[in-house]
Amino acid sequence: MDIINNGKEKNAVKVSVKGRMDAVSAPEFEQKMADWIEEGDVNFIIDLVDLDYISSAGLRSILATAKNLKAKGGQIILTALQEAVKEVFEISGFSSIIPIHETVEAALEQM
Amino acid sequence: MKIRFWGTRGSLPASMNAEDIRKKIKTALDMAAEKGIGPGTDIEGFIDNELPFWIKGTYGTNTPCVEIRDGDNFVLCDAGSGIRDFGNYFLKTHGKEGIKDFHIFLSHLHWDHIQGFPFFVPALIGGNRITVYGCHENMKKAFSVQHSSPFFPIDFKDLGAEIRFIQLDPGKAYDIAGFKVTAKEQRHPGKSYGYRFEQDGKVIVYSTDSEHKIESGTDSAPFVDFFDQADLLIFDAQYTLADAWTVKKDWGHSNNVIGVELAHKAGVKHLCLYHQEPVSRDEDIYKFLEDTKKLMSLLGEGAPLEVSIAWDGMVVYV
Repeated sequence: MDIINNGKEKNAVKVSVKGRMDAVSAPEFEQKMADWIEEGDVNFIIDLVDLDYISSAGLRSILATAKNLKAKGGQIILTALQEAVKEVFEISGFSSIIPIHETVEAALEQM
Repeated sequence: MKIRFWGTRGSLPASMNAEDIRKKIKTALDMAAEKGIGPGTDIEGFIDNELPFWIKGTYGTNTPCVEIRDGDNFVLCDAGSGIRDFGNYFLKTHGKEGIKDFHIFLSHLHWDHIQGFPFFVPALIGGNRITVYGCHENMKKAFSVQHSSPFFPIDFKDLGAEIRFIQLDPGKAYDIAGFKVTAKEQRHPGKSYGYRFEQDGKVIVYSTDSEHKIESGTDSAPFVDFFDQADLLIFDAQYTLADAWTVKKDWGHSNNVIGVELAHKAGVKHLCLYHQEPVSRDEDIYKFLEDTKKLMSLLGEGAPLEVSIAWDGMVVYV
């Protein structure tokens, strides 16, 4: 799994995640996010257009990050979910607790 | 072995009302009209092959009770309101004559898992033997209390059957009623216990009222071992993952996402979702199963061969 920091726009850090987010890779995502949050950033847009698969471990790391950000007055927005990943979010109920937008641009408007 | 589900709802019996029935009838008639079903057409075939289960049937209303039948051994998991239907069916098919042995394994003592026992008619009949197994210390007290005034008119000590309580140690294998039985402690308020039944190379695991916390997720190696290669895994999936990890955290129940992943890791052959949310209507439960099948397909190769959702009256052979 690749996690790429694409810089800041409108006070939000744009991040791309590629590959599979599962029990092996999810801790890396959570740690990187925690590091960036530690540096003072609290608003994140996570582009998932190249994320092929997400397991419960991936959902767990996103929820943990979202809770961390909420406590600091920030937020996480996910964008451009592939069909299979979107299905996991809908079936798990996560689509109703984590903000999701079609595009990074649409997410930026919410920031 | 034959496994019959007598009660599949969690928490409390779920009623069905006139509005629910009307919706089923209307949907069935709409579909029939669309298919040109009418006098002289294959109405039975239409019902059996065209109507979804939520329209032509119901997932049921009873609280947990599962029968594992092997020859003359009557093994039951939990004594929710489903045990009443089991008892009545048993008397209808086996009569009152002769000594009958019943073995009841309790996941825990919450009311939805014992509330059917006062209505279990074989317990009234002298000569019958009932052995209740569990890992909690106070099983007899719980049964006696719900069988006493002001909760129930017949005192526990006045029941005709010989009733024994045997406390099991989790993790230890026992030979009971022809099965090798092993209990496992589960996360639930007041603790609960799952049971692994093994016989002639076949494995059935009953794991209800078991929460898999966000911290452990599916990295729960002990549960992967407990479910290992099960022919049938009966798994508590009362909630969605989001509910289980947020608003219903620490309520002691699991979800379909964790069920699919654990079953996949453990090489389970048939995952059966169980302990249905009582506020869910039949169409909600039908959708929950369809969603779970989608999840299963996303896992790809090595996924369990079959996924189902339990309903009162469902029979599975392993």
